[in-house]
Amino acid sequence: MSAISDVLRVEFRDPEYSEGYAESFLNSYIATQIKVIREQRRMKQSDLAREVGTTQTAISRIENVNYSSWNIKTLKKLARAFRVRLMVSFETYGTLVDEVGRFNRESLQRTEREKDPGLLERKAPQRAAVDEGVERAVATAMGAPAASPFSRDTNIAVMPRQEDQKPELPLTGGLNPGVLPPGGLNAAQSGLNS
Amino acid sequence: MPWDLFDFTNERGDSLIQEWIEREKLSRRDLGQLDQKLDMLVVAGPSLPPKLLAGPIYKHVYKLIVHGERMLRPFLCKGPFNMDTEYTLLLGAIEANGKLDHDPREAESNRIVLLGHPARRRNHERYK
Repeated sequence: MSAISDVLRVEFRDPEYSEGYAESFLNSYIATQIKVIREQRRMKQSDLAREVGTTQTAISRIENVNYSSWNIKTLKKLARAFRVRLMVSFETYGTLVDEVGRFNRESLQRTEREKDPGLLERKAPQRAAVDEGVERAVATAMGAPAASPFSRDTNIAVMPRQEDQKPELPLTGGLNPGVLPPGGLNAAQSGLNS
Repeated sequence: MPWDLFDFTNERGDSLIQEWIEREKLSRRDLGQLDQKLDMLVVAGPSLPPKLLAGPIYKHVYKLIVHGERMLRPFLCKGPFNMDTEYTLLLGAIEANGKLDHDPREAESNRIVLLGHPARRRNHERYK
């Protein structure tokens, strides 16, 4: 595909040529993506037509690379039926070169909202760190080897976590602040002085 | 998997499609639209983009539909040597008032000539 890309980089410098090419590509892209996502959802044209509130003939008409009379309102309805969002964006001609090269079924498919990996629930980072610490402590207590500086799954160095880096408590005359007498530090100090 | 696109040639080795493009003096805009459809055929094959090709309109002949300032309808066939990986552009045509300026039977004749003389084609200009 590099041959096409090289040719397009030169040809797109011509305004008339690039406009003709880009408009034709847009029509082809929309028609093909509607067909690809419909098939991804295992819908027939008549199923999609019912969801959008139109006829099977109208869907067949829009699933045609030569059709150019689509409008934003119809595309929004299709987006709702596919449970994805519609994005309309102005782009440079240079980006079209790569889009042409990677035009295939996989690049056109989109996951519906319910299975969207970008919306999957994730643990909050702090909570995940605490969970990991508990798991490690349990593993060590059960005789597991000392934790490697690399995580077992990713070979990514595990940086010391904040809770592992507690500053050492200042020594207060040999007192363990964890067992201060009633009255606190002052009471303890006066006891020592007496 | 990219498809290969060839041009049928005359006895001198000239591409009939290239000659047609020059003879018809296609505008740069129409040429951009034609090239876009050809690129799509090469990159994605015939089945992914819906209704990229119409036909067969006569025996093994399909037409590529280009809605430009003029209605370009170049004729082409699958193969004819490897039906799963290649297309050959056989003849240029333009539609006006619902009528083609060339008979698809001419394109079929070119295909038959090509079957007997496999050297009568070359890689399309854009994909050399």
